[in-house]
Amino acid sequence: MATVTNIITLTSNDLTSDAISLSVSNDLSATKGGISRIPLATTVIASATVLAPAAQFSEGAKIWLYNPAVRDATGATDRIYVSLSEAVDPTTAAFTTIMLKGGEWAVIPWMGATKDTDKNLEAYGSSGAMIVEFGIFQ
Amino acid sequence: MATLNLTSSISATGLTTDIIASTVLLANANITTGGIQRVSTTAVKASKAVLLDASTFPDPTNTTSVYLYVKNVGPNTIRLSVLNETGTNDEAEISLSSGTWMMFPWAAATDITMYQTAAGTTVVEYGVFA
Repeated sequence: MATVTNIITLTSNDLTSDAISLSVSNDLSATKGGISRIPLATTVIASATVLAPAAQFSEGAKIWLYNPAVRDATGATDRIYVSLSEAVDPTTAAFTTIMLKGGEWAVIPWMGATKDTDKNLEAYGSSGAMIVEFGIFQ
Repeated sequence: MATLNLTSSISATGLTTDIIASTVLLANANITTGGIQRVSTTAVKASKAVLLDASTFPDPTNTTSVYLYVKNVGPNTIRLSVLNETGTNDEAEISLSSGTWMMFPWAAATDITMYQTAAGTTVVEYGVFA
């Protein structure tokens, strides 16, 4: 069993009166996972790219997401949308996703089959030429 | 405006044939509000607590974002609804066991709620930067 070490460092010298400097680390014992870049050939949830099948993961899995695109400060051409469960907002009936703009990343846990074996981790982009860097560990 | 630097580092030896070592810096110079704090909660599923009121944070724009950090520093696993879900529609809940954390860009569209999976009192550390 391998150990995956995940660290985030958060700093700001000018946001508050005192500087903010936070570093947190987690070690995860993992038997499967890795990091790769994946093309997203679609712009809608209906045909989104499956990043990870829910049936192979359960509560405790950890996901790394990174949008390597250049930030678009004038439009919305740099977006990647990630669905944790193909879930729909009960109020708006819209699919609920995490949105990553160019250069942004996320580290989040994922429950996979613990929630629903049929609800995969999926992603799509604001254009058909987006790439997501994705990692999952469990 | 202030600058927020968020660095993610992932490393693993022995998981794959080659070592995994990834470090990515996200620097955002358009931050005006934020900080780190801790709260305690006794909430359970039947009575979820609101961790963050979305109406108090600006919606992200092309040049701005809202970054959310949450760490479970208490003894009990907590579950959070972060993707506009309410009531019993909880498929996209995120689970944080004791000592684990998450970070992601938050849409700040609806509230973030949380509850413990076992009765008791737990402590949550969080920060929102917008």
